[in-house]
Amino acid sequence: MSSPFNQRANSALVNIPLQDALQAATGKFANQRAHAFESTAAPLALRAKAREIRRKTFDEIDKHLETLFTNLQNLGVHVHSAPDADSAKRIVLEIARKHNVETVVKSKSMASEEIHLNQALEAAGITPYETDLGEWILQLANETPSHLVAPAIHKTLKQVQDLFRAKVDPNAGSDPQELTSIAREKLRTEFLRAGMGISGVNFAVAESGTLCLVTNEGNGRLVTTLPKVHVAIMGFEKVVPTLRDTLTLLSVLPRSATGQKLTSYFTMLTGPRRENEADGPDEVHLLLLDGGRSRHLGTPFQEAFHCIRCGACQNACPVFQTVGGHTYDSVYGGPIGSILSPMLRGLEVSGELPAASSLCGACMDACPVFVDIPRMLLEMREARTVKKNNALMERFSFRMLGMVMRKPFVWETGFKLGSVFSRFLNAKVAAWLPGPLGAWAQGRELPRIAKKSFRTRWREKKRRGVDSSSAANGVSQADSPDAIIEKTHHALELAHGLSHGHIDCPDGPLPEINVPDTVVRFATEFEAVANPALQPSSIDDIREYVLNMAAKWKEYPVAISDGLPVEVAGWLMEEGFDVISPSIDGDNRDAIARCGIGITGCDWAIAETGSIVLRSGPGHPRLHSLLPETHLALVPANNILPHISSLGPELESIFKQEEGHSASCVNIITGPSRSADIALTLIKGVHGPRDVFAIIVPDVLIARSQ
Amino acid sequence: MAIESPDNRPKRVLFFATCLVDQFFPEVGEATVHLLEKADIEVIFPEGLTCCGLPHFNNGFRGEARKTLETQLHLLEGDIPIIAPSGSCGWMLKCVLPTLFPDDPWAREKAAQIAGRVIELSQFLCQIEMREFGSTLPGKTVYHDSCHLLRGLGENQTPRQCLDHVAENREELPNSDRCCGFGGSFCVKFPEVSCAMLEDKIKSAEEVDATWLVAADAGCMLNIAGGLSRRKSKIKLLHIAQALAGPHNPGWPEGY
Repeated sequence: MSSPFNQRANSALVNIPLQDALQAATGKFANQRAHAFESTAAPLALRAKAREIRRKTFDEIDKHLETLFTNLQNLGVHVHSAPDADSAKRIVLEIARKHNVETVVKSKSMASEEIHLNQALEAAGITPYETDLGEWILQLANETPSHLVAPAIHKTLKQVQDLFRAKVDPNAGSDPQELTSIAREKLRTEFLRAGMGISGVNFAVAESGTLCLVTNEGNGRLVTTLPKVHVAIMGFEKVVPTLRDTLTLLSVLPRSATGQKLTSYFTMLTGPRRENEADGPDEVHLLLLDGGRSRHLGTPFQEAFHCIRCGACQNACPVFQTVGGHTYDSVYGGPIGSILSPMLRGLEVSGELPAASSLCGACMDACPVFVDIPRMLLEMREARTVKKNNALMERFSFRMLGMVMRKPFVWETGFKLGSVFSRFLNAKVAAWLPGPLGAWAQGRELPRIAKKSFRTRWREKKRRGVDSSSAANGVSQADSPDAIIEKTHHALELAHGLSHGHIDCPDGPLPEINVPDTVVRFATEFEAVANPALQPSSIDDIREYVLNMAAKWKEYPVAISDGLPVEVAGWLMEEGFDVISPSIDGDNRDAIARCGIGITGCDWAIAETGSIVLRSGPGHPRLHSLLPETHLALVPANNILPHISSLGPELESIFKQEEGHSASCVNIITGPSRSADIALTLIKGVHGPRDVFAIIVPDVLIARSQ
Repeated sequence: MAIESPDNRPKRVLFFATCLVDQFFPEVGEATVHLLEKADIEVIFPEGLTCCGLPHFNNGFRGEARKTLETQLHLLEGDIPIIAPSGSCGWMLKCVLPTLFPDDPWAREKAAQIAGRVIELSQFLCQIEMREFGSTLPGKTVYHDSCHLLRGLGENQTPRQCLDHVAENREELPNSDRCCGFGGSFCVKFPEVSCAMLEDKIKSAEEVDATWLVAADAGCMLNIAGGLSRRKSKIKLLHIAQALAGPHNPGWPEGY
């Protein structure tokens, strides 16, 4: 009788579409990851720094959590703590009932998968909509995610098309772009009417009470902006001490996950909508789920909490590549899942997973924060033996083997007998045997125990006197080769899984890539992720650019934020455009949703990634850069910073300020809304803008226009 | 005798033959001894050595691994390099052994001293700057990175450097760093997954039409050899010691 893992693995191995999808997807991700770090100045130092941040966080996890809670509460965020799944579900349902919520929109949250939140909501008469394209597909198919960042990695285009035809639109075609448009339209309606948004959290910044989301599609922004109530669910492992630490982790997360320098959106949410802001939730809740976590603090498994859920270990793992995520039968599949699942669900339930690894170490090699997964797999196997969770026969065999190994004579005799026995056994016969021999013979010929072992040959050689010496043991003072011994690399530590030796965290600031000209670099990087950046030399140029772009959306109103570097509203009104200005009192979501183009300024831009940074505030609604199909940003040349890390002081000045001045939200926008959840085809404009444009406004023109 | 800089060479080394080489691939042991003796190094092989304990350690029987190694510590004492012809056993002795005796200062100190002297064969050959092996490997040679040598000992250079001295034509094996599916007990606990991984490994060697597939770990060899003969593949498998010692020398596989 084959084990549960083997049974699932066997069905995965004969599932041809799954095999094709796995090969394409994991290969693509792994390849992109390998190249993504080339765009950093010192990839290993960056990763070592990221590891250091994660390690130190857990040295003082209590302190950081307390700081986080204090800051959240000061911001007016309701903080809840749930020891287990049942209490977590109860808390969410209570919040929903209080606000008479009928529908909920959700962005990807592994913690909510852990507690099976959707079933609980449905049972209470509340309809949850998964809005991540991949997750929505799975919700329609009534399946679970099979990968951390590409949840529907196992579904082929044909399967998705059939699903859409059966459940959403009987006329759905086979073009991923068309299928995505269907999803956009359907889910947009749900976003606009949902009473509550539920999200996960990628990083929770202790020093500022900021909850961060790393997304590509824009659904995370919609879920946390449109509904009046936002509930974020996370385990304590998401806490990050400082904003600057967060930016370091942000530099490794998307690179390791999808090979992007940055995802389309990095959203930093800091409390509910401020009084002077047009949009954002009025009420924010953070639900801290323990779910079996805290009992592992201070144990050899604490390091599993360092994981930042990028999925790189899954893409790198030859077992995962071969059998896919569902074979692990757990919310968290792959190498890190083989640690997390037994931690959260117990060895009794998931004890087989730690054995389902060849301990090749590719996971740790790929991990951006070097989580020593092989070490913990070994610890988990040890724990299983200690708890006697493994089969009696296995324990007995290994004990016997141990006894034999300690008696060289018995050991040698055993092999001699085995050698004779193995002459009479071929793989065809062995394949019918139960146990290890039969398992071996399934796809391999049996190894032959040598007729003459090495030790026998050695004795014969010595007897022949070919050997020049008869020294019993080489204890000698004369030939001490200290040089050789010292030169062999990394000494006495159980460092396993790195193909490049031991990494030390560098002291001081990390090296950065050289950005001699921020404008030139920004323009290059922006073009790589979005469109050519427009570089006007006069006010008239700007006018022409803006009017040309708006002309594509003639029939639609234009949403324009306040305080742009060049005042463009007048031009558009002269040309007869219906201009929608920021609302002062609550959001005018329906009006913005009708706009074809949203025009915003740009608080900062980042040259090395081609990103636009927008902070929310009076006259600066979050929705202008989100709901319309086109987003145009007017980027003052002076506001372009060289690196992601340059944003640290700016974020500190926003989020660490005393109440009243700070913003509820800062978004780092890098290119259009995008997804590859349908058959790995890159589609733009999933939930947010399909197109993003930038006009770089030189300082002289700003001065002239004002 | 092809010795270039004899000064950095020890006069003697201790050969940790490993159980798999001892019982399944004795030729690999012979080839190793041949190479070392060719470099004018005397080889010591304590016959009481059995196994490094890795099977126990990897399966969650740390106590058994500790006991097994404890009985062999005295055989490994001394001050000469300890040569392991397998990355996995080398990793066990170098990285795990010193962690096995937290409560026994005497054994811990011994273990640390032993671990400090362990070196994998190809690393050793590069360290003593052995460049002339007196043989050539005709045809196309590809190298499979064994996981423990690559990621346990962090070595991917020395096997290639050594092979470049003998191989007529060495090419990179596609996905050479991908596990062959052995993984000790993994290959019999999850045979179908293991065999699928093995199939990928063999296919990549066949895709580049390799004559010789060279590995530096007897564990991988046990697995790959079984897969090659099941598929009746024409790829020929060699341990790096055999590849370096070359045809017609001690340790060359019968029938190659």
